[in-house]
Amino acid sequence: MTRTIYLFFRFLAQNTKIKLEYRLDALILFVSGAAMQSLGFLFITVLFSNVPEIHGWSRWEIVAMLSLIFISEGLVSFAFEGAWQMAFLMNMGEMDRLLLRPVSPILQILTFTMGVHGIGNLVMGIALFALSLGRVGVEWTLAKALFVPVFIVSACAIRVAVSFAANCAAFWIKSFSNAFPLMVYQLADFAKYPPSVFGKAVEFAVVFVIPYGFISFVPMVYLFGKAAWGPLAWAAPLVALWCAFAARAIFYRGLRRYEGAGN
Amino acid sequence: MRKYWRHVALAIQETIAYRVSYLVNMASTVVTYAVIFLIWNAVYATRAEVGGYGWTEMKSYLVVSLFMSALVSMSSEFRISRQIRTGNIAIELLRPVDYQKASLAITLGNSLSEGVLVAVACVGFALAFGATQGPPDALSWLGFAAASLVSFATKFLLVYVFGLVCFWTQSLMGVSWLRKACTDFFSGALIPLAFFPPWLRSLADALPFRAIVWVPASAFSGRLRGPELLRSLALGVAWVVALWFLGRLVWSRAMRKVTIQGG
Repeated sequence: MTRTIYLFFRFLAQNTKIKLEYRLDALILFVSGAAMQSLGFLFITVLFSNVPEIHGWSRWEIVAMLSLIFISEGLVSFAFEGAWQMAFLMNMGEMDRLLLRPVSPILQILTFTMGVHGIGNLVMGIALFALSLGRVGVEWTLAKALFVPVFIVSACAIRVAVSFAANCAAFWIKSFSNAFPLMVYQLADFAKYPPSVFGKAVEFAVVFVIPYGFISFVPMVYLFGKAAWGPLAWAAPLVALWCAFAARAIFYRGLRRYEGAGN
Repeated sequence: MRKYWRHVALAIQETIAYRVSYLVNMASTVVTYAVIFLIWNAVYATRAEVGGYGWTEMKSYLVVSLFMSALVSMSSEFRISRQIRTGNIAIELLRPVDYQKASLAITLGNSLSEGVLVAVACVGFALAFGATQGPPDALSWLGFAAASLVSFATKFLLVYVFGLVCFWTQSLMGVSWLRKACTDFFSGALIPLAFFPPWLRSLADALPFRAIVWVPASAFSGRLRGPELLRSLALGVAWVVALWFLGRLVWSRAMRKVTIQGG
């Protein structure tokens, strides 16, 4: 375990050095990450300048939800962008090389590369979260304060697990395209707003099937005291663990089918 | 001229050959629109009109927006960047065709074939959700048709110019995300420009993106008509001409860059 953590930071440091070699690229990615999130925020701003609230959620509560999505998205893209390289790794035969090394293939895949845009997302996310906390009165308790780091870690774990599992589709769909995992990723759009907006079916899906609800909505219900079932948000680490195990199982199932890209 | 029509025909055949990948790509656009549609649905659940738009008009707006957004898919952007990154651009340079015109022809071919699919999806969507408010008269249909042409040309040129940026950067992702985010927001794809606060509205009016969704969608609903529509169309055409020459300029600069790296 210690070795895995040590290796993780080594890989991350090396990837950062690689990315910083291409200054202009890194800068563009950072700016585009931040700009995309700013536009998401502008969308909410424009929407709420015409409508006071949606399903009992006010503008800054929605912004808080959105900013949490940015924070976990940012951390995940920063540290675990490699999940998106799986189709590439398999098609180019790079996977064979990773499998031969005496290090967990999952760790190697996840840290295969890092996303500079993640830093832009993260910076923007933290700024918006701070801004919205200033506008929404939260009744802080010790439990709630302790909860914030717990659920940020859980949210990241859920996202990594879901993206990783979705990218495992490359074992079954032998194509260069990332279209399927991208679609799964895009489903996180549903988590940016209170799921009651989307109806019961979607609400069920984002809480239980692909538990994106736990990366923003459920924790926000708890922090803002929106509903009596708020403390259920403490289940987030369990949900994250479950996702991680499921993703791991899917990966090893896929790996059994893997036959290399050899010639 | 004939060789460019040949490009159009080839692009149509190509789309038909790779229809599955196109459909999967379409799926993420559909997810985006499903989210937006449901949010507006929730907004209109408690009020009859927002910013002067009734629910029926808003639904028609979203349908036109979906059509316009899906008309030029990401594929041309990726095609250009892939050719630049793999060095295949060298082969394109050997061909006795103008790269900008050939790209236009291929994009046109893709849009003609994909457009049929998109149109079917949009009509289905409109019928299913009762967004049946069409253009009020023949003149509006004509205005909509003209605006669609301008929309296609604007989006192609933006994609083309941003695609060429790959000559300077290592990857396309950041640039392409930025373009997509700006297009989605400033074209009025997700929220009509009429809802923007004044400062943001003047910014949106000063940018070329408005011709992509806002102008055709407003022409479709008859909101933009007569001299006002003509002015918007003329402005759009002016942008198209300007972007066309910008494309030429960026290309000629890029060619110098290629010569330096070549060998």
